[in-house]
Amino acid sequence: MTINRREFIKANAVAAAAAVAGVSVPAVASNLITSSDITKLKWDKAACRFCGTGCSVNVGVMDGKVVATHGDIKSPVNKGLNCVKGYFLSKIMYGKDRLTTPLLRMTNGKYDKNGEFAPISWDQAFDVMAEKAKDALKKDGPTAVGMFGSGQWTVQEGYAASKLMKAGFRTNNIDPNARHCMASAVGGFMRTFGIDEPMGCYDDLEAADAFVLWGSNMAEMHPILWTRLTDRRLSAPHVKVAVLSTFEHRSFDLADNGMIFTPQTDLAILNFIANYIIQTDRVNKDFVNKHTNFRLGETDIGYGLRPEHPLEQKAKNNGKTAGSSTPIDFKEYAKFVSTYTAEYVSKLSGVPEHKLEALAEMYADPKVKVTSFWTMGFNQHTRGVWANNLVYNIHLLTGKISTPGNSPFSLTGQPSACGTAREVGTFSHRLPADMVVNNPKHRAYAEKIWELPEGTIPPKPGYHAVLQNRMLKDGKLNFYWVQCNNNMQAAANINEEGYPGYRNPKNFIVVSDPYPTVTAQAADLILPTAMWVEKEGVYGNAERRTQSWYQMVEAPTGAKSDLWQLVEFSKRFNIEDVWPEELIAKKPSVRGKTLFDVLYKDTHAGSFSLDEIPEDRLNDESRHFGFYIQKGLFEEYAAFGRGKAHDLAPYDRYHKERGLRWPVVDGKETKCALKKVQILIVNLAVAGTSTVSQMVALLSLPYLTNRLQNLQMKNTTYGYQQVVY
Amino acid sequence: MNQTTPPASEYHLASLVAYCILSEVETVKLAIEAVEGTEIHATSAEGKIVFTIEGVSHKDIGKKMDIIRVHEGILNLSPVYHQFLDESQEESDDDNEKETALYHQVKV
Repeated sequence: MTINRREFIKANAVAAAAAVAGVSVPAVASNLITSSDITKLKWDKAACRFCGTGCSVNVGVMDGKVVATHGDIKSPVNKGLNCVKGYFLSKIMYGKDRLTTPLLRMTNGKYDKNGEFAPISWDQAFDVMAEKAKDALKKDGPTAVGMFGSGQWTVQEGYAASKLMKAGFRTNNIDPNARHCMASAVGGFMRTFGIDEPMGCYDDLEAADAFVLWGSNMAEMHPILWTRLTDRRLSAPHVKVAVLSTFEHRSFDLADNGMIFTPQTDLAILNFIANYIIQTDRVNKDFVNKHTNFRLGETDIGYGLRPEHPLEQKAKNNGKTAGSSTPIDFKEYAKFVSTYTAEYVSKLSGVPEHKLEALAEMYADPKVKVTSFWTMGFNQHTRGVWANNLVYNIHLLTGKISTPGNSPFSLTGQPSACGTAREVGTFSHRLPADMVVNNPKHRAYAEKIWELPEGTIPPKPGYHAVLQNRMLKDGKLNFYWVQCNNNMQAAANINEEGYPGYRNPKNFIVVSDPYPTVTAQAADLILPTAMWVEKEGVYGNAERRTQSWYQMVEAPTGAKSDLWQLVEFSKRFNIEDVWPEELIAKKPSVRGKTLFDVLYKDTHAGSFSLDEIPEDRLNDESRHFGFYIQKGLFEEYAAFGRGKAHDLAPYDRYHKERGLRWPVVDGKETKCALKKVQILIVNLAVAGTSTVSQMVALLSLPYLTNRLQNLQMKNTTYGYQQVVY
Repeated sequence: MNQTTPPASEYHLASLVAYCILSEVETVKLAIEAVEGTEIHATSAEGKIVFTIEGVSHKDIGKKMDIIRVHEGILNLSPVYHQFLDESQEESDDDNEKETALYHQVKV
């Protein structure tokens, strides 16, 4: 039988889908799949670049172009499936308007803030950039320089950027767009558990008896995980699904208990569930006594608006005490939530009492394993940290946590919001592995790994994402570089803060992007960027899974990866341009060197030879810089977390695996987080925490935080971040 | 099988799995077949339908997916495999060249 190319492709495609669905297909097609060499396609694995689920896809390259993609059957995350976003993976690389040359606003061949974009060379682009950065540093010091990054940076790119800013330019003004989507999740994790990480993983999907969606339209936003949830629901008839939202959406199709509530009253519903658990005497006393303490949080904390905003003027506790809390005991807690009866909360929320009770019973019944999922309904809530804390409360009250099927789980939106932004710590207050800049021991730890003199990293947190736009507008942040972002489209208050900030004549704005987005068009200099499999990289997904891929195709001529841009730009600075003499004097060997030498080439990051890259592999960055830079940066970064409960495997192993969930201990990934907490207790002490007993006290006692709810909120939508679904 | 879209310079093909409410499988099948360029290849006892969509662009197939996925009998529609061929060269080549250079023939 002879078939043509179209039919051959179809046969492959059908065979792949049939394998995923577990159905048999006609023999002809099955035989064909074994003859795949004939297609000339070269297949390789990569993490999908579109969301935090972290699917693995097989990417088919022919004649230097990605022409095929399919869900990776070997991936434990997506098990061969793809979603509609993943379906578009190859298209996104080949738009007609891909940028291939730097563009600078110019008039008569010279930079002019009000000029028109005109093509220039990379050399000219870096000349102007370096001049503007040096001007800003000279005039107002490191706080005048900043960067806005993303959860779409690869781990190596985020790490290189953080090092360039915090150690090179000595500014903490680096923040990712993950601030917009993940700040509440991180705040919730830190307040309740003292560590930023989910304690469950996707395996809970096949182990749970009940699922509750809080502010997540998982059916459309996390379709792959929804498929797994659907499979579980349909294959195990006892499984129940509850969906809560302020409007009806696609996930309600599968809901046994769908609930539409009045905005903001989810907080009251959460307190009602806690009350129901207590009233029906289903508190897991053993767990609560051993592992929890109770605290009452500060209220009336404002909205993160500018201090002069009337709402902030009115708020009483929006200063330094905004995140504080005071100890209470179980009795006081029980008394506090006792206000939240079914009748009262039904009236507040508009959800019928019997539906609220059915929901609460899922959590209360000790025989039911419950997994709670949420996305931006919690994380972009006006009281997002509280919402996170409150859902942890009900899991902790019942002890339904960190065991298979029992898991409160924040679903993330970006492919490496966890892996890059959070774990690498590309934030204005953070360093890798949950460390923070205002802790002298953490700074010392980072300076040791970076082989830099004491005092290199500034102790004061820099401007966070929202503050960056305000500081641009106020003319305090004058050199600003944006990568992997379309913030002019996505951020809040763009008309009032962001756009006037970018166009402020005092500022020079650089935007790196593959396409001429609105953010790029608001810039002064646009740098054309390589994307996804046009470079090698690593992403970390929402369940702590770290995944790598090789470069598979060349970027369009002229486009360069963010990593190349960061590291190449660092060559433009002599250490004397950026560091004061007294700092240089502490390590005279850096004298006369460039930031490229000091931060990358002469460090651990620069110590891996090109020989380690398989000869038939593309790697534009490494071959340009002369060392295996992706491996070097990864290994140097991994040193921050190894032995500190953030253990990553050796870099090379990730090229062979469909990802591994950290901590990777004795070569094995970690699914369950309780084990991990114990590791943390033992090992963090080594990293400079004062005493082991203090660590035990902190980490073995995840505390219940409960928040007085300001009921006046329910009729008002306040500024800062609206609740976005 | 429905007719495929008229020849264009690109040929796109995607395979998908539709997860259906069991009692709705037959109506979902009809809805899939009503869309141009679709072909159903298998259906599982659990209500999973394996089918393909052909089209002239990413977007073309994307639109067809959108038409199908809103069907109330579908709980979930997952694309699995996608590939496209640039056939702009082929139209000018004669059959012999197609045979050797551009068409990949396979004998089973």
